Amino acid sequence: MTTVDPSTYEVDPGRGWIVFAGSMLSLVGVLNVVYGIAGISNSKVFVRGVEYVIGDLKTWGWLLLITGIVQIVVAFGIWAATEWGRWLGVLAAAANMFVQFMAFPARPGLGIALFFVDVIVIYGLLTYGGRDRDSLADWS
Amino acid sequence: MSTTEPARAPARRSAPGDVGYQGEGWVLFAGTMLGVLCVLNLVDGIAAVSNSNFFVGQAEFVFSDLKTWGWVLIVVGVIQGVTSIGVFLRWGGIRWVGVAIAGLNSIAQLIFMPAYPLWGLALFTLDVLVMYGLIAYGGPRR
Repeated sequence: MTTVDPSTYEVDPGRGWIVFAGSMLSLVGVLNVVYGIAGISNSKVFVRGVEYVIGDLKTWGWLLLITGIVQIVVAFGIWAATEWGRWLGVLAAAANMFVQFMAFPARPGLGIALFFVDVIVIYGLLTYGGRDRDSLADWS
Repeated sequence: MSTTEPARAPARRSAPGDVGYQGEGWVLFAGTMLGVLCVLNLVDGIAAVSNSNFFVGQAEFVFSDLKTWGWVLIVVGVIQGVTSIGVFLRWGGIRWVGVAIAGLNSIAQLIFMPAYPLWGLALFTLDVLVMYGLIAYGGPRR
């Protein structure tokens, strides 16, 4: 690693991006768990009388709940700067994009927001996850 | 990265275009956005607690009701105001308080969305920007 001029800020957005991606993934995870449970218990918060490509609200509720839990677990792997965290993070975010899309009719606004957060997570992990992972140890 | 602690150099005025300059800008931006969020959440929260008509009538939330979420917004707004000041004054550790409160607010905004559609999305976006600025650039000067 090159020696940096000590008078400058040490700014490495790459390290920040990994922590940020983990935070975003856990954020999506929490919302998925909340809305997944609501979907399973058939909450009135969802748009009624909509058609899904396949399955029904209960199916997608379960899938939201499962993806949410997986995402929260994987977020810790990302914060720990592990290799599996990076790839499972990309996988979990990509899978969630699909689930958001399928469950979209029930909660349009939320679906759109979380879809793009997944994009951010994938970008961060793929662009910055591969390098500089050792320096995450002394990241502050 | 040099292992020796650099002699505490006097804070250098960074030139525009420096990476350091950019990081500084992001932190100030995050602080400013926290201030904006504070004001907007306070207005929203007070309106919700007093059951104002400008919210969607009979909105259903994933849990709890309009009044509860109004109080949540007020509390979050106050914390955001204090955090915003802290970010400007560079209190130690304030960065993680900012990340936490922005994260909480992003969840609250999405849950609040049935009462005030689209608005929730806008504030959610601001929260994400705040979290990025503070996480990526909010570290202590080295």
